[in-house]
Amino acid sequence: MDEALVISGLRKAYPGFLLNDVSFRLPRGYIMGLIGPNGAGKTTVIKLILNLVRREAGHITVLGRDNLKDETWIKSRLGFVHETPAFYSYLTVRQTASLVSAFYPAWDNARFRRLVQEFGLPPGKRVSRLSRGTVMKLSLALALSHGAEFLLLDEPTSGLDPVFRRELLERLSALIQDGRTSILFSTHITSDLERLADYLTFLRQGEVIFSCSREEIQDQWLLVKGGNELLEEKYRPLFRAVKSTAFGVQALTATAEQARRALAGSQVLLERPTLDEIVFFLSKEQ
Amino acid sequence: MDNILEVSGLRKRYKGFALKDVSFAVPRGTIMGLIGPNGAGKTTVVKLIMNLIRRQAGRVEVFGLDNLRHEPEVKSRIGFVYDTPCFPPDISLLRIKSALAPFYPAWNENLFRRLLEEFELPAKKKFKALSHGMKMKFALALALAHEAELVLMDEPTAGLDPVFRQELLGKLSGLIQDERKSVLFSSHITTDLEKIADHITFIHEGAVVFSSAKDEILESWGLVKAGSRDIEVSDIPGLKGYRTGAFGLEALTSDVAAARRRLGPKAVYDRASLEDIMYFISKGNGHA
Amino acid sequence: MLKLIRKELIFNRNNLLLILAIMTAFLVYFLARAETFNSPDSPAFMMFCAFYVGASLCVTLEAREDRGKTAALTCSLPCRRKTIVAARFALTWLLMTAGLIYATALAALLPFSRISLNQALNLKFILVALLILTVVFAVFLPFTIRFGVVGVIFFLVAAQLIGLIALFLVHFLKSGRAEIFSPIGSAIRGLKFLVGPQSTSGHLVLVVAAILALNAASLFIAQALYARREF
Repeated sequence: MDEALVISGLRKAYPGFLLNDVSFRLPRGYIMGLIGPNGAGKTTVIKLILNLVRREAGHITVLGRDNLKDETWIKSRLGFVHETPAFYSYLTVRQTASLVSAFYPAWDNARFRRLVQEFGLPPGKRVSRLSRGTVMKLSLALALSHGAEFLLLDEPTSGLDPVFRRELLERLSALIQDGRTSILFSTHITSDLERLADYLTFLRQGEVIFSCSREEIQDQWLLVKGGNELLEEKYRPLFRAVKSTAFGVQALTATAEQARRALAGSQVLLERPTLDEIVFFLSKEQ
Repeated sequence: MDNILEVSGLRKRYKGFALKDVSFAVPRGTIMGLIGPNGAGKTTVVKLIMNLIRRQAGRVEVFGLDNLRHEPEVKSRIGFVYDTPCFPPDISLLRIKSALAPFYPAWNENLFRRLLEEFELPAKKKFKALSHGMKMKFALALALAHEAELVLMDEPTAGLDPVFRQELLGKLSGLIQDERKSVLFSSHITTDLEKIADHITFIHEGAVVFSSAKDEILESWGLVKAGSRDIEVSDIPGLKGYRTGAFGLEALTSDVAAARRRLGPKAVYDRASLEDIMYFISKGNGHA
Repeated sequence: MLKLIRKELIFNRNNLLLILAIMTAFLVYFLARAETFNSPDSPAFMMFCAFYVGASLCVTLEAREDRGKTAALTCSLPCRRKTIVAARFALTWLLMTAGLIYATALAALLPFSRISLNQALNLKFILVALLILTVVFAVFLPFTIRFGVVGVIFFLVAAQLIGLIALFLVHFLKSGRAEIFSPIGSAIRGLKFLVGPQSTSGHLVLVVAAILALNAASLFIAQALYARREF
């Protein structure tokens, strides 16, 4: 099994929102960032992987197994962090851990205790008295303490200070060095992605706009800046998105070679776009 | 220019944590960013201003009024956004608004409708049907729609996509064009603060490390980098924290100009970002 | 204060409608079958229920807010904590009065009702029911404020356990029977007296005074507790 996650043709409809034909894959031992504007469907995809909501069509394979047929097998090897962690508010950190750990055969209590110390979690404090960031840290500590082969993290750095974020990202990077663990995480913080993601999947309004590796983006994506000639029909198939600004026209292409050839000789500027620019560019298009 | 908010000698003790003598002021027409590691006390400060928790000592003056003696008046001019928006889950956004709007004499219905549209919020949907980001946006719309003079926000951008974050920051900058209004917000996304804050207050372990103009901080604080044998840590003036490792020595100083004068070409000097400052003060070794 | 009451009504609209539906079903059934409850006091029971719904609602609303964490929202609005609590009390009385009017209206208007308007609007019944309920919510509202939903559940469970233990003890220590039940017995006898033909308007004035005093005390305590509460 060389793929940690395979999603194909996923479909889920809510009133006023449709997750439509979502497909992407994550090879084992790598990290994928799931990005996109609010309401794009990132949390829905994660909930579908966890079978918290029922899908209407499509397949999901985690660690080589079907996510419905082998749900228990998968979940015992899967660590997750929800965007708003839900714990019993009147239980303490310690009690929560003993509740959760019972479900995982590979629970490593020594590891958990070490994480509690490193993260600065007060073991005897009730969850209701913890700040939001601390609850996040608890969620992370639990997810990292049972030798999970697949980590599913929904906005794991939300509410965490930059110092802790930096260390967390280093820790996650180190985790996948063994080639066995894989991570899918959704985030809005592009600087985190820069540090961490090997692959990126961009969702918008329930559809996958692109899903590829960072290398591919670096090699194949270009930001083209020029004048109104870029709006012409002949260039349409080249560009993923085109924007008119006060200063001219900007376009994003995922086929650098073709673009270079097609635009040879025109007065255009070709730049490698930063992740931020890509996100901004693609978030707003209708 | 007077201060829209003055906090002095604020104290609050919990089991295992204490806010010690926190004092700072937010001038009118400015944006103040509140930074600090998780658990440093930022949310505690915000809650004390809003009297959600009781202070043990100190004063909080908003619009020149004591926040306890004039609680209703003060709160009618504050727009608040907390890090977890809590509204009744089974009620539609419009109904929630109709319950809350009458509390604010300066409520601007047109502004609210415009914000709903701009933020792309489904007005008739129940609150629980919204994604986290949309819930935050709704809280924001409510806070801005009553023309608040002080906008007080605890981690307002957590969970918001970068495009909306940018728009929000733009909106906040636009807000303070009216010299009477100010914004105080705590955030972990220090890059956002570097972009728009006028002042920064850094809280660490319940105490204020500094509260000054952002430009001043970014100009006078800096990083000193050198090989481990080239300089002594004690030589660095204004040392606030340092790290040693395979790369040599990296130190944070609050007076990089003085460091440059003292150490000259023996070291390399660099700007310190807010994140660097937080990092070295929280995690670095000792101070001189 | 009105704004606060309005806010509670809007925020709890669904809850209130549901309770209205249940109450209506119950009252309709009760009114239709009242003759089979072989007791001249049965209208009192109906009144009691009508009030009870109103009284318990206020505790429920407080508990819901505690559970749903919307309390931070309420306390961030431009009003004093004292006013918030006063509004809760006012809302309770509002709901109880509404319950009374509703039950009476149903009794008078439903064609198959076996209880007439006169029977329903018995002042003694109304006052005694109010007294009992005032005691109930006068204790419960401050209690919920201080101890939250979890506290109320604890209390109810504990009260039941204590009741069970008391019954067992009485059963096994037959001699203790009279002592344990006598305060309860005298309370019931007192209430029956007030409701019966022998009580005078003097007694009723005392009842009204007791109701007012209990409310005032409870309000005072509840306000003090709420002012200290931290979110």
